[in-house]
Amino acid sequence: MKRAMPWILAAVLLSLPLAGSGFQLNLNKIGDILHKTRQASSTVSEAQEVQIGTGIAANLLGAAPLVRDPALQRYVNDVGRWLTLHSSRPDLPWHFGVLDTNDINAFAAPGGYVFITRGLLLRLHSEAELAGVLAHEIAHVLKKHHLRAIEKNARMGILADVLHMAAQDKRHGESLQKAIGAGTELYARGLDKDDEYQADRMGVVIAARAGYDPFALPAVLQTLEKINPRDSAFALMFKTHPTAENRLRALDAAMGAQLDRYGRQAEGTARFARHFHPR
Amino acid sequence: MNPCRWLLIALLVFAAAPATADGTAATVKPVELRNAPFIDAEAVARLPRQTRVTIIKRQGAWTKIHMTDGRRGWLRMLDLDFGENAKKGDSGLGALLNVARTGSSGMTVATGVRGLSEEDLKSARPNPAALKQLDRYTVSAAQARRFARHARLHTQNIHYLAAPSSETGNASEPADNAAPFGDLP
Repeated sequence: MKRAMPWILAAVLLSLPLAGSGFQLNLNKIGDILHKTRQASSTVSEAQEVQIGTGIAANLLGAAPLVRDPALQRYVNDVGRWLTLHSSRPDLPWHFGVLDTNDINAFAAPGGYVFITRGLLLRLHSEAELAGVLAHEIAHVLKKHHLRAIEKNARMGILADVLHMAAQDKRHGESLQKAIGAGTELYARGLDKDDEYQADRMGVVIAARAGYDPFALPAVLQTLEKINPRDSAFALMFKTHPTAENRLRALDAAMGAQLDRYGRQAEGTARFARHFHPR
Repeated sequence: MNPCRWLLIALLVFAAAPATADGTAATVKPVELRNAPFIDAEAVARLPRQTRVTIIKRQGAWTKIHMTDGRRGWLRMLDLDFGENAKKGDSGLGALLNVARTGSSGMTVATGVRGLSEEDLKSARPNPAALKQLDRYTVSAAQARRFARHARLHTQNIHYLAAPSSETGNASEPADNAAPFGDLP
C-alpha cells in the first residue's frame, strides 16, 4: 500500500489545483521531470495499474463496506471470474465484491476491481443479469477507461513524480491524507458517455461468450428505466451514466439480431435466487 | 395508533401491490406483433408507436406481451420502453416512500435510507481491513472453471460488436472488434 501512495495521489489530485495543495515545489525539479516525461512514454505498467486500482478500491470500501455474507461474495466472484476468462485480460488479479449500501450502482477500478452494490443486486432477477452487470464493469477494466480518464485529465506521469517528491516530505502528511480522501471523486464524476456505451456493447458479448443470455444486461437497463430518476438511491448512477433509455437505444443499434441465437443461453434464475434465500 | 402511522401503512401496502410481475411498457416504434419469438414468425398485428402493452415474460431477445383487447404475442425486447411511468413522475406514492419491488428476492426494500452519495465518495478514507476481506473472496481461474462446469455454462467464441455508425469521433474504436479473446477457458 505504501508504494501505491504516489499513484493514488496522482489519481486523487488531478482535480485539485496544484497552487492550492500546499506543496512548496522546486520549480527546477518539476522542469526536469517534465523534460524526462516528454522523452519517456507515460504509459502506466500493469503493476502500477493494479496499485492505483488497489488504492481506489480501498477508498470505495471506505465509502461502503462489504456485505457480510461470504457465500454471496464467493458466488459473485465465481460468476465474475468466469466472465474474465472470456476477456483479453484473464490473468489480472480480479476481485469482485458486493458493497453494503442501498444505492443502485456498480463500479470498476483499474487492475481488476469490480463492485456491485446490494441495492442493485437486490433488483436483479437472475445470474445472467448479474453477469451482464459484471461484464459491463469488466469491460471498463479491459479498456482501461478509468486509467485513461486519469491520464487524460492529469498528465499522470508528471503528477505522480511531483507527488512522490511531496510525499517524501513528512510535514505534509496531513494534506496528503486529505488529498487521498478526496480522490475517489473521479467516481462521482463518471466516465465519458462513449466509454459507457462501449462497456455495454462489450458486456453483452462477454456475457454471451461465458454462456449467458446476452439480453440480460438490456433487461437490467429496462429495470433501471422503471426507477424514478429522482429516487435518491439512483442519484449517483443517474448522474454518472447516460440514461437507461439511451443505453438501450445504443445497444439496439449495435446488437441488431446478431446475438439473437444466444438468447436461449443460461439465465441461472434458480441458482441466483438461492443466494438470497439461505436455508 | 396515530393517523400518520396508518397512512404510512396504507401507502406501503399500496406501493408494494404488484400490478403484474413486470408491469407495462410502450413500443418505441411501429412494430409487428409475432406469434412466436422469432424474426420470421407470423406477424399477427402491426402496432403503432407508443402502444401500451402488458409484459408476460422475456425470453432472450423477445418479450411476450398481451394487449388490452386480449391479443397476445411476441415483440423484440429492445422495441419496448419501460420508462414512461418514471418520466411522467408516476403516481407519486411509490416515489414518495422510495419503495421498490425487488428482483428475485421478492422483498420490498425502502431505498434512500442510506445511499452512496457523491459526498461519501469524496470523504471516503481507505478501508484496508475490507480490502483484506476482499482478497479472501477471490476465485482462481481453475475454481471459476469448476463453477462453470457445475453451472453448465458453455463458452462461445463471439466477436465484439462494432460501434453503431451514428456514434462517431472515436478513432480508437476499431480495436474493439479485433481478436475476440485469448485462450478459451
